[in-house]
Amino acid sequence: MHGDDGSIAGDDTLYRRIARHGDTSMMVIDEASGEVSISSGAFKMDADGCSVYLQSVLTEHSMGPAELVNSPQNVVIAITADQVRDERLGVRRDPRPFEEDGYRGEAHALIVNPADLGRKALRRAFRVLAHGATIVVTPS
Amino acid sequence: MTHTILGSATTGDFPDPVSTSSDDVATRAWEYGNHAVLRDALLGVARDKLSRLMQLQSGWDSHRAQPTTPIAAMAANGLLTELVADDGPTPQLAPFPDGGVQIEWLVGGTSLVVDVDADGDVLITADEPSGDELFSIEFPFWNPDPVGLDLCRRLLEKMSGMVERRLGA
Repeated sequence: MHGDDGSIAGDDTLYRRIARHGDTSMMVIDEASGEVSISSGAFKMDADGCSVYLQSVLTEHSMGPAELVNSPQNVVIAITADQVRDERLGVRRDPRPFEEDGYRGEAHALIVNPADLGRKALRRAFRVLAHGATIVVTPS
Repeated sequence: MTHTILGSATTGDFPDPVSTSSDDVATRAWEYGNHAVLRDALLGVARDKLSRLMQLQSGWDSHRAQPTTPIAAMAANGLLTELVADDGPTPQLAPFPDGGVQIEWLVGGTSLVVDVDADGDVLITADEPSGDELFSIEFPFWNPDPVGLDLCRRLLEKMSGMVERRLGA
């Protein structure tokens, strides 16, 4: 896994598409308050990292977070590169082929773990990111 | 979206939603008043979902996500069996893209989160509403920590008393 890409500005917004409901939902409901919040699992990495899209690159194509939605079940959540780095994680570009993801594929990036944080530390980091993230696109 | 309403321990009927103010479909679906639920009903819903998570298509997140592995599902099922109780809070399951699965209980800001890796390794973390950690436990699925699981049961029992909006998964 590669390290952090310093060319990505700290105030760049990272968008992540997650499921709002259904079997792959990454939202969790508080059974006392009724609040719906983002699960820490929303930032769980696979072998490559955690998939996100860079606002700075989307903007070059006159696109925004709404263009990331694939299905009515999707919501798009947002966090900044600074917030990620504050948790000792990193961001690196991972553009995807046009055939797979269209123009938005150029904006694809990964949250990565350059400090090789252990399992508990990663879990903590994901929790902080989930609490700090905002929902920017909701189902219509 | 299909909703399965959990069974009632008392009447078999369900009260009307306590609120219909929300425009949010997923929220409306679970806005039922608190009611007793049997362990078997909670387990049934959770196990049904676990089964579906094992049948997800590869790439379910539009990238490289894998379905929940049989080992992760087995470990999760074992933990659900250990931790779910009558009238307890509802376990909320979510898949991890690497084939693991998360089980989360959330009541009044207090959370108990079980992360099961694709290989069955388990990390359980309990947090207060402030975000401060109450405890965390790690073990491989084949060697569960009985003392840690007892901590989890006690926390869930405490959380069950705070449930006001029973989730209808």
